[in-house]
Amino acid sequence: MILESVDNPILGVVIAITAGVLAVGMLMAAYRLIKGPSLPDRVISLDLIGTLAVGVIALYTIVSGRREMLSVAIVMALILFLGTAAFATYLHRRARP
Amino acid sequence: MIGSTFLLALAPSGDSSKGDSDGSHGGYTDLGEWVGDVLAPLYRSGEDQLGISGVIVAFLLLAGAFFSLVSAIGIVRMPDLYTRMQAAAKSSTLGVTCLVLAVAFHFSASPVALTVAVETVLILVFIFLTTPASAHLIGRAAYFVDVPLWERTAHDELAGCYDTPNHDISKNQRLTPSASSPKDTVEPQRATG
Repeated sequence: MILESVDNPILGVVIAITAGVLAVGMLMAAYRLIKGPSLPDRVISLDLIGTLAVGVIALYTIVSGRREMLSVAIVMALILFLGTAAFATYLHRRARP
Repeated sequence: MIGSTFLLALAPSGDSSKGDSDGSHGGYTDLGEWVGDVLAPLYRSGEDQLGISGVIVAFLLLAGAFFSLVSAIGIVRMPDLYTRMQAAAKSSTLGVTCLVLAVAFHFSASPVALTVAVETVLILVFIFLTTPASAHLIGRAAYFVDVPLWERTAHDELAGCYDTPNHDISKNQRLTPSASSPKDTVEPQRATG
């Protein structure tokens, strides 16, 4: 049994695989965040990292068995949009002479 | 569709007394028990009994991981900002949807099932509302600040409609002739396999 709090070994293996895949996905998005040629590339990679973080929070909710972190996921899904909209407005305003 | 799936998750699936292998499905009272017995070789292996809700949770987790990986591969491998944005927006939305629905199914037998379901629906509504809007905003701003398209882009419908001194997009007519714009490159012979 991999995880202590999940009482099923098959589900524990599935959760471990999902966590590994999400970590790899966040690392790939971080690669685009560092390398990205333009500022919108970095913004969308940050958006992807945040969206995958919502998935990580969902996975943590299954692992821990407690539901408090779901509120964090709700707030995060809203804050992501605010950040992206702020960056888009900043790009617009910077483009104007 | 969703309601029937919830019924499947809530259906009792433990007992194997109702004829697993003889193929006669006459004694089943609802659809959940029938599907549970059909899917029995997936989860009934001795003491590692997963249950039909656990099977759904495992499937949704693996699907969410797959689509998240697809979006990550897309954001690394796609050649262009706009195609990267498409990969990051759509596929990650589907992946997170699968992961959050897995939470809802995992808590379907607990006393806080309704609260978890409401929070799950809130997360899904916010993600479904905000992700296309943010992708649209970023794509529009990126077009304004002249982020280059892929050199093999077939058609650019906004080419020539962009007023450079005002930084505005005209609604109907093209401001400049499209042949003079460098973005309107239509390649007659594309390397399609």
